[in-house]
Amino acid sequence: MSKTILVVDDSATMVMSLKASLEMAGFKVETAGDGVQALTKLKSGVKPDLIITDINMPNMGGMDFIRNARALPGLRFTPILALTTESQQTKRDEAKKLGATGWLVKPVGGTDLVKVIKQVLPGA
Amino acid sequence: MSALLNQFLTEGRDFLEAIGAKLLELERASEPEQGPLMVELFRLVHTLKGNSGLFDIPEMTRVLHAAEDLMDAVRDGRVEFSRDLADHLLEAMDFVSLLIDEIAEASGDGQPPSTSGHAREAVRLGEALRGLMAESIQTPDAGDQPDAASASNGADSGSASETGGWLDDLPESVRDDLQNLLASGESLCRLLYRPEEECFFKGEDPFFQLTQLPEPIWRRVGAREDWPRLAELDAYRCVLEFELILSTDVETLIEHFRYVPDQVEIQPLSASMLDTSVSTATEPDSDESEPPPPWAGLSPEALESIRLALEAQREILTLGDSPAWLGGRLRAVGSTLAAILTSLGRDPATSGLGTALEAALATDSGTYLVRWLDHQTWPEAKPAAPEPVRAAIVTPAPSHPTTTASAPTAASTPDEAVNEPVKFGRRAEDQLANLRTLKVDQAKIDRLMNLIGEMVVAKNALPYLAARAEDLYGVRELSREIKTQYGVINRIAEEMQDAIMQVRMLPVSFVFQRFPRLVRDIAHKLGKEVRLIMEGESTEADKNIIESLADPLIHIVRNSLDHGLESPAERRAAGKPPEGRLTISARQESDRVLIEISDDGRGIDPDVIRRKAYEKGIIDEAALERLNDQEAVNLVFAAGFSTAEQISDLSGRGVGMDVVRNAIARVHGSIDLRSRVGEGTRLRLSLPLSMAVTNVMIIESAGQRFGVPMDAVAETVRVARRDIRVIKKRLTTVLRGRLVPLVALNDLLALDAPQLANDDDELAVLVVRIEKEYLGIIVDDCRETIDIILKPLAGFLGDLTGYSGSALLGDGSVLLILNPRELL
Amino acid sequence: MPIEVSDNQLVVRELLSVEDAESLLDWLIQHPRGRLDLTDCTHLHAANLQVLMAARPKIAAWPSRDALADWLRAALIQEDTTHVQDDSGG
Repeated sequence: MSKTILVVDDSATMVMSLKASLEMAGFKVETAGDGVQALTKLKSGVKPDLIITDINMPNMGGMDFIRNARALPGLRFTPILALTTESQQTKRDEAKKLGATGWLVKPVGGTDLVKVIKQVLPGA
Repeated sequence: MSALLNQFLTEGRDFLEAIGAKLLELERASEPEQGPLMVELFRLVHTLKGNSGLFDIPEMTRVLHAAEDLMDAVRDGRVEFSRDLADHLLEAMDFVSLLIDEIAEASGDGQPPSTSGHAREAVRLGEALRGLMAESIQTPDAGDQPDAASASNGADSGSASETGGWLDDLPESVRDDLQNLLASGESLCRLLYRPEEECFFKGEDPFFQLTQLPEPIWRRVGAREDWPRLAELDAYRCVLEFELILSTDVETLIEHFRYVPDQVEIQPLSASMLDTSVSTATEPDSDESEPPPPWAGLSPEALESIRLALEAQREILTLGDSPAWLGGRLRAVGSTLAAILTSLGRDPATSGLGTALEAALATDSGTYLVRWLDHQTWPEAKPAAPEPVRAAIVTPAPSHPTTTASAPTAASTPDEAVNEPVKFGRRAEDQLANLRTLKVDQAKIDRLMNLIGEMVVAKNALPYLAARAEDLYGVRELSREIKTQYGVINRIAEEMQDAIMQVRMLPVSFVFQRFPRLVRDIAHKLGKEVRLIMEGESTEADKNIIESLADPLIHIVRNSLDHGLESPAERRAAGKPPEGRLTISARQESDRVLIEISDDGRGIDPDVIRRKAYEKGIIDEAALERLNDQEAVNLVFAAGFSTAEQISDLSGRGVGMDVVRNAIARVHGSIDLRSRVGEGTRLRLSLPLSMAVTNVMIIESAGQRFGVPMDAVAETVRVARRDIRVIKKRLTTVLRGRLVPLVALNDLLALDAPQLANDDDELAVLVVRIEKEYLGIIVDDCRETIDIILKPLAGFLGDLTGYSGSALLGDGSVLLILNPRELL
Repeated sequence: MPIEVSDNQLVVRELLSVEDAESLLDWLIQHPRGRLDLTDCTHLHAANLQVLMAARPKIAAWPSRDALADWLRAALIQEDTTHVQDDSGG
């Protein structure tokens, strides 16, 4: 059974790029444009095996989203990867503290993306 | 073009608009409002930069990266926001915009074209932006790979004194194996992994991380605590502890555990450790028995400066580039290192430095010098003496290690090591995403438009068919059925037409959004203070209408800023607030879009206009007297009129308001100008919502049928031939007490036939309104009005100015549509 | 469902997820003499590993995946150190 990944990013370009790469690798992909949308999706029963979230987003940013998502009963243990840029070490630490499993460095794409996911998602 | 690139370009333009708008807002915002705007601005620049990284456009990424760093600094309050800063950022965004346009034009195969022609400009802009941060802390440039300096971690450097008691726990046989492996050149590491207690709640699976590593040579799985009774066990509080020896290099392990650097200790093994491990384990304090180092006499300050100098040399050596002067650079490092050795009381000649330098010069690389650096013992020089090893010495653990000491591995360079970004492929594969908004090529919409046009024509053939069925074949029943069917198809066709027209609708904000920037730049240039107010930006009209608005509106706005609004000093003198107001508003009124551009400037003086118009020969002396004020003001629309005292570089490029008026008229719009001296000027544009469907009246003349757009038709009348007079050599008649000049259509079209009158000797006259003037066109007959899809005339016919296009009729014939304005 | 029960014996298939750790723990509490058949187990989350280490149940069959079996032996067989290369029971 293919794993489901929730991609949260306000940039349609980034969503499109990630979705394309992930679907090529056989994942099912759900998308959301910000933290609020993503939480709504999660509460409405979408149960991803992994979440990839941007940090800087309108409405609800990545940090608040990670904190809120972790508080949902079905998502206590779900791996969450934060999308960051190379210069955001403090953001990564903060995300980690709030419950992120790790991070991806933009630009993200292709086989390396899948490699990172396989590292944190058993059975992927 | 690939879907992804297309998406990037479209979204990129949106981002650029938003960035521009936010910057302008920021300039106007009060202190407390600025915070959220800066956060938002950073987010926009940040995202755009991130997106640009998906493609190979280094010029764009470079500039955006600098802008991002700058906005980051502004957001954090490290750099103050200023107009100068906004100017630089706007300039940078213009550059990005230019690149986006260029890419949009050039890319055919899904790959963006090379923009390297702009490399120099990109460097200049990037540096200018970074210059603004000069006083603040410089953030590292993306080009300097963060991991560049950490490459030296893996050098096996441990000495016997640094191993610690854990080696004791290894069975004899394992130690032998390790010895053999090391002897055969394998690089071995010891890994201690103590996942934090709450790690499961961060989505981590420490065991999964370990099973992904190569098969360890030795391992131990333990717990930090004794196991409680099962009933009291908390399965989700992680107390596991893993210890491994494996044949993997340090870099790979650091990379593998990059998310949990503080929970692992990684230590490369060397043969010397194993040799002497027994003695060191029994003598944990062996450090003290070593002779004091030669630099024992130096002060801590001196040692610190030496340490800094050493770090600098290491950095220089690990610079990724290889310039022509690399040799010189290496020699400089060599002599610096020799000086350091001397000041530490060591003899450079016996240190091996010379050999390392020679090797470095021979290989054109700093590697040998770095290696030499790693092998020396320096005062507190951290890379040479891995700290975690010392931390691990603390009490040899008997069976269940309970020590909690955990110094991070490679303590001197945790950032570099952890920072090391996972490098990803350049470009994601093209694949359509499932987005709610569809961006469609305009050509496709145009095709739909043409198809619905044909549909309307085909549909219009049905009434003819019904008539034939009844008249020719005498089947009344069938005729009625065809008419019923026609009614159904007609309704669907109309709805389709409406739906397609909806797709073509654009909000006026498409044009309006460039005004904040335009107004700001021009106002700055002219030294004027202007507050721009925009209203009704969401008002929609057909794409063609909106697009045709852009140039006239820009011209009007420029005029207003240049000639209308006064300088702050002038305004103060006139008792007005120094800041001028420019309002651009849009609203819909029935099937028209009204756009108003008004200012509270000096207004237009009709006397000045009269005088100018007379001087330029636009009006004669009689008109000078006759024209009322409003008529005089309207003279600005006359061809070749320019009111500016001197031609400014902004609006006075010889393009007058006549050009504006003609551009508006081309899309069947009209323009109305009102002005009061000292109070301001208001221009009102009235435009059709859509030009897709044109309602025309069919007229006959000389046995041919023509169409005339209904928006030009004021009325149709029958005029008795005897009521037509010749005044000043022109045919004229009186309609409702007004004198209306008449022209015969056959004359205008050079058709060699007299106009036909009806049985009562009355001529059909189509009264058209052009601007404020009425004119009667004599035709043979006026027929019904119909909706048509106007198609421009192609080829050489396109040069015929008297026609605005053609349309297909239901019976398959072609109807030429007249353009009364051009005709006369 | 990765867990199947038959006759005081738990058969674990494929992947034991973190969510499964609680039910594994419950079962082991209720079946102190329960045995585990891990033949078809491909991976178990560290939380399960903890449970097994604390419970030390009898392993009726080790995983057929050698790499996983080696890890579990290292964790669950009483000796604190296990040298894989000496371990002949693969």
